Amino acid sequence: VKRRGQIVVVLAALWLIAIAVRLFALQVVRHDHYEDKAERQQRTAVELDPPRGTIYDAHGRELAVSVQVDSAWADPSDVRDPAGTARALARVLDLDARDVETLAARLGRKSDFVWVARKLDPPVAQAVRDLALPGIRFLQESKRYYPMRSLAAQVLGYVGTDNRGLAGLELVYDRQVAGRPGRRTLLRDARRGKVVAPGLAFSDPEPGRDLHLTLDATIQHIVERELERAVEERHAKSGSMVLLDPATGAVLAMATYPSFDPNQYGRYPSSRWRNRAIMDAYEPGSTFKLVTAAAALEAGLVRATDVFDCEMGAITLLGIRIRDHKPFGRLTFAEVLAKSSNVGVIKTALLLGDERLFTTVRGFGFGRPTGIDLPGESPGILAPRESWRPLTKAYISFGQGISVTALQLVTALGAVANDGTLLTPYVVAAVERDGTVEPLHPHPEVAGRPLSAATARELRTLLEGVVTGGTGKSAAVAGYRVAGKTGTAQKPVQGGYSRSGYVPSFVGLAPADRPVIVGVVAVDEPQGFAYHGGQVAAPVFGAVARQVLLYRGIRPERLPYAHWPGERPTSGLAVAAAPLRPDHAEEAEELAPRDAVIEVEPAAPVAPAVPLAAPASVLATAPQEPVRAPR
Amino acid sequence: VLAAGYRIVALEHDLRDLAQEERRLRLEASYLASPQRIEQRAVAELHLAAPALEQVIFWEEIK
Repeated sequence: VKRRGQIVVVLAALWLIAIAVRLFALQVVRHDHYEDKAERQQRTAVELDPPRGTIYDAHGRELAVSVQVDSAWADPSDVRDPAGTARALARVLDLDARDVETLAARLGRKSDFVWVARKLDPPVAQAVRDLALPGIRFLQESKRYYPMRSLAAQVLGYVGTDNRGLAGLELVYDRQVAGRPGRRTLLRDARRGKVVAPGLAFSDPEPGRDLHLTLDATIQHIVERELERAVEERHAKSGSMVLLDPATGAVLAMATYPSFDPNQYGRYPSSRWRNRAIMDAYEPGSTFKLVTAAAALEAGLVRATDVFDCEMGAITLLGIRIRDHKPFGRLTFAEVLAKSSNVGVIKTALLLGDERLFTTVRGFGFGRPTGIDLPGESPGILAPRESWRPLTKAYISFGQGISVTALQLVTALGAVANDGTLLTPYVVAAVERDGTVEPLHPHPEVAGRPLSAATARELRTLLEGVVTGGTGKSAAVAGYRVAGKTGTAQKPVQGGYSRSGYVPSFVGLAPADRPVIVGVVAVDEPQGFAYHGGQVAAPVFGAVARQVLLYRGIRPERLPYAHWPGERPTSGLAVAAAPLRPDHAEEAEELAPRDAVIEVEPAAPVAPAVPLAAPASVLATAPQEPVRAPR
Repeated sequence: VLAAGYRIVALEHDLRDLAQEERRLRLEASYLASPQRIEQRAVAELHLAAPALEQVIFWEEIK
């Protein structure tokens, strides 16, 4: 018994020693290790997503906004019936049979976390919540929304699921717009609640910067509407249009049709994501004659009144016959441009010679990107001067053997509108953070001076002749002086030029004497008999110019009204036919003759001038407004 | 300190929710104010049309 007692004591002592050793190991030797482990369990690091910056138009209207939305995820160990859960989710998530199978397989996986559906629109997220499926949980992620849908889609671009910009401005300005994520360490209590505690690591997220664009949503809409109409009416493949402010180089509108909705860019073919106005280079055809004309006028080689023999429709150079689109006899230089004679322009190029023509073409910015703040800009194709053959200048003079983008063309005409100064076009006017707006282009960026102010003015007069009496008549706008140049380029094909594929285009500016807009329209392969620039593209420019000039409050040139619209000629009194809004009543009372009656209608429905936000100086009159007769 | 910590977390949560609500409302306002939508409704529902040039008078012409 005594021996047994001794064994028990020894065993107990050994047991106690073992505990003491283990305790020593836990508390002293591995103290740091276990302290770290405990902290890791109690503390949780949360990544704070920075909100992506907003993109605004020129008047502060939101074009791209990020909002936190729910993403659904699942803990498969809590999902009792993967197939049934997948079927229930399919009804609200609009999934097809294959997606349901994939989802059921994912939900049956041995894992702690699987995505069910990411970045759900609020109503869809609510519908998923309402299903109250076991194992389905939610967390918040940032989602990019484009509230104006397809408006300026190719310019804005889009972002991927990871919130990184993938195209357009979202890509170019990704670093500024994305911001930087912050981190915060929280303590987790026993019930998995969270609590901040002093002394824990903390860094605020840096919100993305906002972008303020030069684009005006209203002008962009006008451009897109008119371009769509032209492409659809002519059954063309596509079309693009750019409108610039010639004084600054600011892009007022840039459109490509057909377009896409950046909210769901994956549902559209990738060809629609292309910003054709800057990415696609094409042979400009006759619109390029304005560059040849600029070179010749600048060199003092021709005057508007100089007469050219256009040889009744064709010229033969080094055994090669180049034809006109119709036979012309003797034309003045002004008529050569107005009627768009190839022969007349070729003869001008022969006077100029290779060097002067090449210098002017380069001077206008062709053969290199304009430097606009958008991705994927094509430099176009301009053969180096050394590789020009004897006939190169003849072809280039009327826009063959050279490729340009629509943006290059409008930027070049911008120099003509801007008294000879070539400006770099841009889309982002300013970036903003914490209420501080930092303009990116406080002064226009001069890219060159290809012609003098006097030449630019003279060329504008010649280009006005194209619209008043030449190939561009359909670009004319009542009340405004429009100038421009038409072009009908044949598309190059293997071994020559297509006889059916054309790119009709028009570059124009208005008003001709003090331009406030300069634009280009190019339509790719219209079908049917109307395929000339003057038939297809010039009317688009005219329609856009009319609306945009009114919208921008540019007064038309017209005789003073003998009677105002809507006024009865017998009254002899000048009374505005538009119902007066309360805020105009005071001013109207000052203006009106003493015995006129000013009626104020509190919320009279006034037909909007051009849609939305027309400047206050434009008063629109509804067609059948009652006349306010004098007492 | 712990109570204040809980309160800070709750208030931060509220702040985030309200900021999100504001963004969502602004987003909705932008959608409602988009030129395509306004024009479509003006034409289809109110039967309005853009005015012809002679229907537009500028202030400067009145003075």
